Amino acid sequence: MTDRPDAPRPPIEPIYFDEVFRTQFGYVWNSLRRLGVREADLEDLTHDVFVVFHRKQDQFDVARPIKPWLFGIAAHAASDYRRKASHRRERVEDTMEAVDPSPRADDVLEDRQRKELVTRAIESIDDSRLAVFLMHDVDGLAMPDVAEALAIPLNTGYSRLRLAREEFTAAVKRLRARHGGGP
Amino acid sequence: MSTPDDLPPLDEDLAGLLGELRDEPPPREAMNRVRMRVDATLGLPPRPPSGGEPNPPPPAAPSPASVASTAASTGTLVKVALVAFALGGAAGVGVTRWTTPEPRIQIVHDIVQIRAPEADPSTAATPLETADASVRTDLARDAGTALRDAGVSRVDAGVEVAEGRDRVLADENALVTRAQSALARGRAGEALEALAEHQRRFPGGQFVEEREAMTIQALVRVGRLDAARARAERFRARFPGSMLLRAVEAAVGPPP
Repeated sequence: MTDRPDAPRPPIEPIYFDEVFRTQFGYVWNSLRRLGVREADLEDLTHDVFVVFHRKQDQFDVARPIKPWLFGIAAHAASDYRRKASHRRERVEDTMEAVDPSPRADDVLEDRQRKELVTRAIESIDDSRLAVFLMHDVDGLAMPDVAEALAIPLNTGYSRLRLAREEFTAAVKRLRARHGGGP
Repeated sequence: MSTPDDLPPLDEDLAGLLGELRDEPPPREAMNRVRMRVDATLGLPPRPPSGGEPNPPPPAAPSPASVASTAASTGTLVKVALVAFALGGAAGVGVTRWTTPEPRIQIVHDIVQIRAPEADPSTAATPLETADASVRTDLARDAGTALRDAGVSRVDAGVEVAEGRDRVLADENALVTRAQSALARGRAGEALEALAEHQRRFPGGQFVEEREAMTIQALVRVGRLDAARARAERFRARFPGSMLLRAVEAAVGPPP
């Protein structure tokens, strides 16, 4: 061991990464959750997103908003995650078990059912379109930013959004019909 | 092909449903745990947990005897210092463990200390990032062994799983970093070796885009222009909006 007790540790990292981690942790976490990552796996996937971000941060144009960039990384990580059949199967089984079709007066249960309805409807959206849908319709990001983050042409972004909305709408109708019209 | 003009707005009822996807705060300790894992994976020095006191600096490497003594005499909230081993026959690095409510991640964090750059003069000239992935992995494994030998229990399935999955990404990152560093030093052949290994071990990894861009640049530098151009063609098709496209085209020229 070299004995250099007074030697200052050289700065390896720009402050920028710390700042992004601190301010965007919740955003990444919630984005992954919306992308279908199970609660138990959120820490793992959030870790992966920030490691990948660290590697790619030199490519980031600081003049652009950070969220679409991070979401693009999260969408890629979540897509890999979903490709693993076991995750998908468990996720679907979890939600299927959780949905209670019986009518409830209790507001809390109704909220839960609404959330589960949305979660299941989201699952029906094709992977290639899900990121566009969530970024645009949930996060409220502008389509040019979405397209850039996902490295797709602008018109492709709009096409994917249109198809994703159709899939989401059809899934909500189907699920509501199956469960007697609510929630 | 859709455009903004022919895209109808989302139904109000459905838009309301999407409100169910609103943000929820992550669990209290999740941010610190993830940060420690990220630092471990990237081989970064430890940093203070969010909203807490900075971590104390790692101690000078203690002897095995002092480790045993310390371990025997400590209670809760007392650090257990361990050491470890010689790296390249020249040095050892201390490992410190502070008992916390989240010991499982703290251990992973401590492993980062072992990878600290000041440990070995022979590696001092090499950036930390270029340390070979397999060496880093071995160090982490040795640290785990040292902890176990010292009687510090870390037999926890969660730890093993987290270390294992994080190590995969750490190894991938280290390979890409090695290639990047070799390219920067004008060692294109060495970069190609690292990139080929990356392709073999992580064909669908997280850094495929970076690997391909660097491979093209390295091929140009070793004079394999045809191979570089063919690969660049595939790169354009696969990553049409890539931020690295500019670097690729700077290497091989614009598409014909």
